[in-house]
Amino acid sequence: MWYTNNLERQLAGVIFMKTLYIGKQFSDDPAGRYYTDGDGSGEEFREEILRFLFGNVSGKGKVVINIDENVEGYGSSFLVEAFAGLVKHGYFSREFIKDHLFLEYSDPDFDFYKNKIYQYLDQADYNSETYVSTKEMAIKDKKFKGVIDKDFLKELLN
Amino acid sequence: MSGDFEGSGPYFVCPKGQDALYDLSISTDRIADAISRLSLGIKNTHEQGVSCFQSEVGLASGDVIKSIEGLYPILESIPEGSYPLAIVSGITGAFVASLTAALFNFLYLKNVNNRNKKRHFCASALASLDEFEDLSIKYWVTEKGSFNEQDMRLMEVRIKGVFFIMKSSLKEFSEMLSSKEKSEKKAIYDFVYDIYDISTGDGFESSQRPFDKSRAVLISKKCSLMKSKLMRYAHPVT
Repeated sequence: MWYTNNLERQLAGVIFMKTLYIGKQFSDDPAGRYYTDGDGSGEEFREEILRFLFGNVSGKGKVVINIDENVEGYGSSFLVEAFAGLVKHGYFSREFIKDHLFLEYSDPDFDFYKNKIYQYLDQADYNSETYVSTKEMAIKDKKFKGVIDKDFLKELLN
Repeated sequence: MSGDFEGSGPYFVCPKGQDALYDLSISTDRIADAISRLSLGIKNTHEQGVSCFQSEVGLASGDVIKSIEGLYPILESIPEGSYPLAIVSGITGAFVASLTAALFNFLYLKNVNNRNKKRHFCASALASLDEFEDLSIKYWVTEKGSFNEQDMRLMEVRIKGVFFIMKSSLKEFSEMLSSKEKSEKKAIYDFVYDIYDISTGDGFESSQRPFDKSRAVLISKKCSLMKSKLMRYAHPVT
């Protein structure tokens, strides 16, 4: 749902966190599924950012994610691993994610990606996959360098 | 009165009427001439001028009466008030006919314009669909490893970019379709959502993966089906 102004947000009783800009704060080219696919993967986004944000939201709080600024597009592999993975690995229920997720964008073409994210959430079976991290292997193989600075997370919660 | 009139509409050539009018004009000229001679006669001899005037006017009057009598049947045959009515009906008819022709012209050209607009957006969608299909098939039939990482990375960026253009082109084309073409609109919507998952899902952007021939075949099949639907709109309309 897209609120056109703060008054609507207040009337809805919604508490918005500060906005996370994928393109500016995470990666301008989010790509790949696993840590072994390099920096900026869906697994990295889920494990080190989304889990943290959704774990710190409650009540009427919303995790606000801007998906179009400084990003040209996403592959299905990234979106499935990042968002549907939250449900598949049993971290949060589908309803919890949908209740607390707010996707922000100004380019109407990105409505497609918003619809896709919600589609993947709907198709994910809760706790249907055991999570096995690929981070250590990726570091060992020098596929993952840890170049993305995640200090912005603390600011988002303040 | 058949034979008395030639032509149609408010104007007619009436030989008998023309003759009658001519005779009338001659007779009135003779009366005018007699009156002028009378005035001269009065100056000379009052009695002579009066008798001459009387005979001349008598003759001229007779001719005038005959001319008027000749005109009367002709004038009687024309219905009262028909001249203005005939003129107005003629003008109105011409106006309505030209308006109708202009309206049909406008509607036809609007239809042609809409079809050609559709053709333009269809051509644009077909071009981007061709490029997307070509890139995606090449990508998935090629094994990915460290030996070709850079080239494959470039291909991945291009696939995501071209997908975006193709999606926008198809959306623009779809918006031109009428409500009667609902099934085509749905086919385009379903194609875009499906092909995105097939082309950029699973091992897309992974560091290593084998070639996936079945995926490439599926991409080709889906794209060909979409192209066959679009081709119908690709022909120019004149």
